[in-house]
Amino acid sequence: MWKWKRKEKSSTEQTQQKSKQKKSLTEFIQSLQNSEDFVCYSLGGENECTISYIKTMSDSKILNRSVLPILNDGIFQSIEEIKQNIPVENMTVTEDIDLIQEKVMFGYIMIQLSNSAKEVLLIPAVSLEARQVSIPEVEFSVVGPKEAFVETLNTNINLIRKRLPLPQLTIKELTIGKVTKTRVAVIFVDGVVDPKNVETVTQRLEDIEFDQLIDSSFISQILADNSNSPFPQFLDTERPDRVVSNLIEGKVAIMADGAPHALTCPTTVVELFGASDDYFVPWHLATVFRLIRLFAVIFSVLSTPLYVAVLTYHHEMIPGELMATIVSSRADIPFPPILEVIVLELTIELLREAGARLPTKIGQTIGIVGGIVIGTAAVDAGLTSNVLLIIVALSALASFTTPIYQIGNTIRLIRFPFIIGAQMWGLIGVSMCMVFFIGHLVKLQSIGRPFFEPIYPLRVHDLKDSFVRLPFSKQTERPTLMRTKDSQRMDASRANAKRDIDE
Amino acid sequence: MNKLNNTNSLDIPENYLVTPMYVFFLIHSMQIGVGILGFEKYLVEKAGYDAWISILIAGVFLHLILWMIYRLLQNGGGDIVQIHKNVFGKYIGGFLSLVFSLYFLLLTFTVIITFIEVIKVWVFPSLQVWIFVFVLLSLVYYLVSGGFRVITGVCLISVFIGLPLLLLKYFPVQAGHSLNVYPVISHSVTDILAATKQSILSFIGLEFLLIYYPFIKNPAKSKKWAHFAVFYTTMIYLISLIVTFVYFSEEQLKQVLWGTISAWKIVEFPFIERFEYVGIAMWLYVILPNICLGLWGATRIPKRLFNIKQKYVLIAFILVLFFPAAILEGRPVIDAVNNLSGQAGFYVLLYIPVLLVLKTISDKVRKKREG
Amino acid sequence: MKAKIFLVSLIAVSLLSGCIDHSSVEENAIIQMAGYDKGENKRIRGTVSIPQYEGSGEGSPATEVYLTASADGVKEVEEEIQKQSSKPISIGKLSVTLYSMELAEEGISDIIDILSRDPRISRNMFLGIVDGDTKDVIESKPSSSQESTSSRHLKGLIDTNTQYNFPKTNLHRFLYSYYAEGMDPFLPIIIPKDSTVELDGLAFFKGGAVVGTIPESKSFPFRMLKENFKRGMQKINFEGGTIMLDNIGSSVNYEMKGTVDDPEFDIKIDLKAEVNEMVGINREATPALAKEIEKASVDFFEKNADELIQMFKEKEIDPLGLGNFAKTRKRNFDLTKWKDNYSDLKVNVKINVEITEYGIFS
Repeated sequence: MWKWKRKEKSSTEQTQQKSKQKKSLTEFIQSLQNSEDFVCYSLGGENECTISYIKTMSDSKILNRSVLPILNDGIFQSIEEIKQNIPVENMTVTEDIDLIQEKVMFGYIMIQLSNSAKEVLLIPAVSLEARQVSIPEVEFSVVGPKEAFVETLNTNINLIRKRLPLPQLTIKELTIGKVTKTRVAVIFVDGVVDPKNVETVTQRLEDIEFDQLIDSSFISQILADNSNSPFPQFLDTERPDRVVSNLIEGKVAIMADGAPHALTCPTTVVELFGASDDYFVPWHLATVFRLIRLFAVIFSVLSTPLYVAVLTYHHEMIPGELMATIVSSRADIPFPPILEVIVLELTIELLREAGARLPTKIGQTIGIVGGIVIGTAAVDAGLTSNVLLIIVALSALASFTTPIYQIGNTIRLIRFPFIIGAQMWGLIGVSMCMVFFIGHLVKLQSIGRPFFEPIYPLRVHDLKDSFVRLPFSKQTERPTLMRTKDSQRMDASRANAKRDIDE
Repeated sequence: MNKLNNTNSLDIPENYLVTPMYVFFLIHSMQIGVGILGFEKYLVEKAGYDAWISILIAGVFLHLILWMIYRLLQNGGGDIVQIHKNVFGKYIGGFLSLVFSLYFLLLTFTVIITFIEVIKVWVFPSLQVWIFVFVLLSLVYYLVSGGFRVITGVCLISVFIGLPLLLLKYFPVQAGHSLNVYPVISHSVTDILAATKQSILSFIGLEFLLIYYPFIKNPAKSKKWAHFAVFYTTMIYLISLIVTFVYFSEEQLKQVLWGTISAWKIVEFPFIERFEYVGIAMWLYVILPNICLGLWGATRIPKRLFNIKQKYVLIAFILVLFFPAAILEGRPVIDAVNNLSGQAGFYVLLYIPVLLVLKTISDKVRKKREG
Repeated sequence: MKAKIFLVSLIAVSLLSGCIDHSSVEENAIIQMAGYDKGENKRIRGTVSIPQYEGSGEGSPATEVYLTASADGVKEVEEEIQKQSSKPISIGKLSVTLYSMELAEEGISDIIDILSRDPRISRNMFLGIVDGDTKDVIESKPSSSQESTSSRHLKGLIDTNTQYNFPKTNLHRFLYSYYAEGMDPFLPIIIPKDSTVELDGLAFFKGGAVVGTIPESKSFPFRMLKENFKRGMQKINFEGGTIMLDNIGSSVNYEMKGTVDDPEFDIKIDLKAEVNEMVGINREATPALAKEIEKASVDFFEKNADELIQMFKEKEIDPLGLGNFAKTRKRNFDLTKWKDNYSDLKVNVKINVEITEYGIFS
């Protein structure tokens, strides 16, 4: 039934597209003339050519300085002649209505010899309003490069290319989004990347059937192997240096025009907890930081569920010395632990949402007001216990240590099933939730590669840069996950050559 | 030989295969289950403090069985179903394979109800069993429907999560009487052999190799991993036994139903006491491979026999497990089921040498007929 | 569709899960100490102490509530006490259990059986015998106590002192020797004094009943025989004055010789000690004096050890676990035979005392 309907739908779409193709140039101009910012006029004088462009998209400087003087001065017989005389690069002469439409919509100036001529000259005069390259805000790092991607694809590719001056750095461009016609670039280093990965990515990109592609996160959701998973299956980064280092490892990067983020894949869950800072500090420090972050994540997810489990079912587990503290802080609270936890967790989430939606300055205030005023008031009013307030605050803090924003959201969310589990069967419920999520992670794939990688499938080699980060001299090979064609990073024997004393 | 291999209808696509190393995790995690929580009592009843010898004998016996299983599979053209078909023909072979399927199902069932018994005794006396079984089985369905690779992953994780629990053995050792561990053999050979049989019961699980063998890449290379797994399991059982010897006196141990859990009771950290709750919760990870692999094996055989979708068999078997698991309770019933599955496991292990002999004979006969 | 069904069922299940009865910590009456006395008509009178924590306790001292009930069995006591309590009783955090000497002398096997059976009870719980009424000990927090409640006081008391002169004890150790063949348990004795509670000696069990006691002064020698330890002090009479030996490491080693039927035990003890106090002795601290003190202490300990072993033989008890030791070392160990021969068992105690320091001032 449904299949049949779908077929019908697609056939109507096809007819629509066909009718679009049939649309002539004049119709196109007519439809544009409904907009006030579309300019179309005939030049007087000897050349009776028509100039049309969209005022808001085109740079009038190019028109005034390079196009109009020439058109006014000379006499041209053909459109080719005009093209040869105008000192602007990359002009095209075409009859293809689709191309014309696309280019004009992007801000090209269109010149026709006469009103009815089918052949037109397209002069690039795109004026793009672009943000300056600024410092990364989501993935800030104290040391290391401080450039972040902006919303223009060209600038972004520029940021990558200047770090990777290689002819093998290949950029494939696709246009995706039925309405938005967003430029999407698939970037990889030829010779290092596994062609299968590139194939998968391009294949999936081409299959996208969606009208709008506002941000790269659309891609990451549509391309995901399991779109019902709370875990992001693409690494979303705003740091060009991170993208470059991923590319060299053999990953594929996807960038969309208008999105200040790059997606790299295949990725693993462990990688989502790695910060680019980890590579800028000595390896032992980086290892310790990573372990702290790992602990923070576990703490953030498990602390409140454990609180619920222990206080509701297993109070034998509380040591005698702690008993007095916990019980006396709980003594006045009218709610069971589960309700107490849910109320407080929701409050924190509320603060977070409010902080994220409000302008920066007010946002900070909200944090302070929320944290101090509501927290203290809640404890004073006897609605929550001191101990829980500390635990919730710490777990919220711990969830901020994740370097990738998307996985931070995941951690925020997956806490709640654990809390429900804890209320159901205490520690065993928590354990069951954990089993579910571990099983889910084992099942999950990122563009067909295992998402839980260095752990399962167990690859000791890739563990060198996962929970720990060993020195660069020990990482002589690219990660096995990528199945790269050129796995050697350096000459291991030379990098690790041992020298005797005083040599 | 070649002809035999040609009958091999099992061509598992490469991306469903696992590397030989995982055989270690598959076998080891299958061997460790609910049994290890309380096997000491049964051994000590039979052979007292000399039970450690029984464990070692059982270990050697299992190495032998493992060797036979590999002999069976190496030129068997696939899994147990194929071997049965080749040796006994379509109908008898099929029937025997079905018996194996039921045996796997019984093992799974035993694990589930014993774990529930542990929870009921130690944590929640008033647990609503059917809800728990329902959630547990839906979880298992989720994992098993992911296929063999996911189950292998579960095995791997379970071994890793089980490792820290081993470290907890330090606490009872510290609190115990080391003078108990002294090799004095004061029991007769029959006693020790009886205990050996008892310990084999808790060791069963490697016979699953018979069904997942075709899923191993380069199966010949997996041999050493399999033997290593059996060795490792034996060592873990031995260590657990010795630790409980150190911690409990012999006559006390006869009273203690769950030696390992009782020994967890004394684990104390400044922030947590009474570790048995954590231990039991974490034990879920240890028994999960048993349930998942058990169900997978049990459902795989009908798929191979009748060519029906494994998913349907899985749902059917889960329903079969659900009702008795939700209803059965009480120590006597659970003891009976444990005994039954233990006996069944013992006979299955004994059946393997028989099958090996039969297979060798039938291979020879076939060769003669062809030659 | 499937996901929806799953979600719905999940919610249904979680709603139904309210079926497990639960109450959070503060809603429970958490018993921390329990005591059993002999009541009237062969009944058991149980007393429990339940700490009360005040809300938002900013250092406010916790108080305790004491409940007492009489019944025929321990479980019944629990039930009777529940009748008096507004909150459900929880015995999971029970840290000290006391028995009155009267009760213990008659035998507490039934109670012990319950202790070993109940999964909620901690194995690190302390047990003690009270020479007097446990009710008095539980209900009267000594005025000299540094702790806020009497249960914490008693727990601390036993915990600390079993690091010094008293041998280690807890429920697990008690059960271990209670069930073991050729080993008998012992427990510390607690006596209430005017303003304090004191650990005062050890009570030895045969089966589930107390058959003998030793005073506090002999618990150091007993501990030396029983286990290795690193603390504790012993007073020794020397040339009319007294010396305090400060133990810094005592190790004991059992060795068994002879046949199963005619065994002989060597108990070797190495004691390293410091002398920090000499009262009534006017002599220079010299190596020669040290030798003499060592000699005197060896005599003292050997005499005490022999007396202890003699007492064990008379009462036919084996707190040192010699029988258990023999069992693990010899084949064909026969418990009844061992018991018959026990009174004639040869036990040689060899003690070596080494005095290492005289304090920082000499």
